[in-house]
Amino acid sequence: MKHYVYVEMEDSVQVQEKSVRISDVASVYAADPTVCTGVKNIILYKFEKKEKQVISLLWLTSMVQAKFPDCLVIPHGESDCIVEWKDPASQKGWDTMFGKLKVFFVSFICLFGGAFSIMAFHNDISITNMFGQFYEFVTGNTSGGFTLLEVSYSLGLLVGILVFYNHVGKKKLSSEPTPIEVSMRNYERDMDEAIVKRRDREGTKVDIQ
Amino acid sequence: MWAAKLAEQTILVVLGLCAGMSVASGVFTVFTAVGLVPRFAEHTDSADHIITYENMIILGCFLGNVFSLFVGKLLEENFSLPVVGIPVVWQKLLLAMFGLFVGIYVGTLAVSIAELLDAIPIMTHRMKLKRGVGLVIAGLAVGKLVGSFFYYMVGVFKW
Repeated sequence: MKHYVYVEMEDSVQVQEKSVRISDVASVYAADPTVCTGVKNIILYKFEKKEKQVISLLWLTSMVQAKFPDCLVIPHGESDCIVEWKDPASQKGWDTMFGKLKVFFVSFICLFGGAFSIMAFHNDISITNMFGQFYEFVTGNTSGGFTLLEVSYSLGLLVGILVFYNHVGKKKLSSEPTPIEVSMRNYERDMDEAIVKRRDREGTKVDIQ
Repeated sequence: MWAAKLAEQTILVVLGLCAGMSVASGVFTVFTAVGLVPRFAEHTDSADHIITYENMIILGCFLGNVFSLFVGKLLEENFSLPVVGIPVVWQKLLLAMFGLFVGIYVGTLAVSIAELLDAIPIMTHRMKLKRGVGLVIAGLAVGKLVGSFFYYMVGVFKW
């Protein structure tokens, strides 16, 4: 009798162990629980050094067929999965210290970069001059440089950024993801696609020959 | 008389709020569209700290805004860091940090904008370059460095 094995492959995963099992890269369903656990435990690839590897759906299918010839694999999800081996031993001590340092570094780029871009923009449009003229036009008095106009502009700017980035501190204003989270996701997807394409051309991915 | 005054102040507040909000969305759409933060997060393996990065951008933007709006006024009143008694070491440190991080920011921003417009892929395709894209990019980076030095050198000679 034929067993149907439903497989849904992920687009990219990180594994802790050297040997990559099917359960690491895909979710598996089969009506028979012994077949299901048997398929999940099939080893697809063994890492020798720290690297990224691309495992194709066809390779997964062929491995399942080799071990369970009476199984029929019904695939869902992605056709290639990028697997990265993260050695848990190397993620202690110095590495976490270094990680925190990097977060600190990027935070500073964001802080000073944000400050710089708004200052450069104000300089571009010579805002002091413009606000001064507008103040004089409305009230007839010369602007002292610190008026209601500047204060409300600052307030508006702050509200604008908070609404744009959609959170105040750690508290989100709505349940939607923030713009940078969205662009992070897009960037990761583009990167994955490029990696798979390159491995395809080089012929170095884990695939049937 | 007081009614006219109120009307004036109301106009100022409404214009200020509207200008602030539209500038915020404009400037920070560019910031996000260029996709700098995802790149930094990817290279430093810290995608789970994006909220921190966004908070830093918000804080930086607010501080930069306050600074650039009111610095003229402050200098007029003869207010600066040495007057408050901040030691020279801290002044130099702040200058160095501001320079370094803004330099990194502008450098990556410039390259990212070029990449946003697909300038390098289009050029390599047109010139039928098969290899040497790495050299082209290294050339761009060295060119920027030399250009930046040259720009400030001219200032040094004048002085």
